[in-house]
Amino acid sequence: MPIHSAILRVVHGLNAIAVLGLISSGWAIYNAAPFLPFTFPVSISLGGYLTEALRWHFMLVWLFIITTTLFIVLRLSPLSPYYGPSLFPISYKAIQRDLVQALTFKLKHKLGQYNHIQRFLYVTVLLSFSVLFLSGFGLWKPVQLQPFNHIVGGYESMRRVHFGAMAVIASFSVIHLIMVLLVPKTLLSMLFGLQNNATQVKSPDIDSLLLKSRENEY
Amino acid sequence: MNIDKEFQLTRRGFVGGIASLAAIGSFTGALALSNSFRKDLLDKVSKWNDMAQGALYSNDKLAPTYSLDQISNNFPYNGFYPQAYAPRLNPLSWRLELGGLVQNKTPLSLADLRKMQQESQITRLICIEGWSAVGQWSGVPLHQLLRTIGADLKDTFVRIDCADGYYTSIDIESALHPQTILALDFLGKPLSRAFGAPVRLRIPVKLGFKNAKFITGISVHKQPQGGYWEEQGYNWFSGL
Ligand code: HEM
Repeated sequence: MPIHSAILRVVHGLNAIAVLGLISSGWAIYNAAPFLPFTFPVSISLGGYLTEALRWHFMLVWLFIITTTLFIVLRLSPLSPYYGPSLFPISYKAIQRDLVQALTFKLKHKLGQYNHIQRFLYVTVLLSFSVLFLSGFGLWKPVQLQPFNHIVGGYESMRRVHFGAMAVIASFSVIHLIMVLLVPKTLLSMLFGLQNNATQVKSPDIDSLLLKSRENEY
Repeated sequence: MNIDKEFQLTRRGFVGGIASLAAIGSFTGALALSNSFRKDLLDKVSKWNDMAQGALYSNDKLAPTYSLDQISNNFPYNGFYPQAYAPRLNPLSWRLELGGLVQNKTPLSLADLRKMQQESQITRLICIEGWSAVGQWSGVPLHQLLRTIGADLKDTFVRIDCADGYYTSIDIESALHPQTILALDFLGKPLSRAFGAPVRLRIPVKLGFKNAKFITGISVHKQPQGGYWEEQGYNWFSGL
């Protein structure tokens, strides 16, 4: 059985493309009217400048919505055949323990089960995605969807919320990549769908071997 | 190939992984290398976004309004040239030209507009660049003007032409929104030169660049009309 099924790998890949594109086109949008004392380098901002960056942002928004919805439906609904390892419970103590182990390269990664750092990070991502989605629509439609902005006190505050959630997702992406590099087989598994032999209880080869060995006994 | 004892790379998985990488690689490559491929794709999505926004739009939704003490100090100037180059129009000889699908094409003077019913609003102007500012505008509701001149209001587009060569266009629905006005005053005084004197559009259901300044003409069309920034890639509908 593959550890990561093909459909989840494709959806995850497309979602990652959408999110990275949204982050970097968002940087170019921010550069047009920065509210913090810095801007982002044009060379790493998708589209480079406002006009093109907005066109990218509002294309990738669709890819982001479709892939995120698919992922949640496939991966988090108990009825789905792709229902995966649990994100709960999360304990602060266990996060500390796992963090120490990870930093000393002792963290045992069990494919098919999330350690507490992963649980914490993935829940954070889901929350930030919801915030990015709601704040994004609030900024896009401050008249038609004005209740969204009212929640945080108006359009200007919503801009900061959207930006803050981007910062969370950007930080996650960096940590996520570092963790993947610490356990490279997860990357290979996402790319090539490694087979997990441990769960292949009934492999025909083993059966015939067993048969042979029994035959020898008699 | 064995990654470790338990996990095995299969031929099928390997081919699939390489194929996906190749597909993503060539799509990204085409986007990066072919300007026309990229432009076509982004144009198509922008058209689709026009449609989505039209479907989401309702004329019953009013833009939030503010109190006098919430008005921004130093309202920012913005335009495709520095403030000093803003056109200088003579308010006495200024006329509003009317064209396209309207019954009465007699040009209107500033005095004509002042005689019509006036509306005042304190609303937030939101620029596509991301900044926003609250101001007070008053003038003639556009729906009133369009009805007075007998404009065709069915599935049409309203085009605005300006003294500096700028132009833009909006869907008829948004043009008829109760808060869409031809503004004559800003903060209780006639518009200053840089802010669009003598007449500008104030349309709080659209992004800032649709709020055209130094207006010289209004016309009504069956065909989409585009605009100065719209031709350069800003989304046409740009509704809020
Ligand atoms: C992973 C998801 C997303 C990320 C990382 C992201 C990131 C960003 C960033 C960094 C900015 C610039 C912030 C600013 O200067 O105000 C921005 C702007 C914007 N985003 Fe997103 N975004 C995401 C999803 C969305 C979604 C789902 C929408 C929904 C329509 C959206 C709509 C907008 C709008 C309208 C702006 C322009 C706001 C402005 O002019 O300030 N975004 N985005």
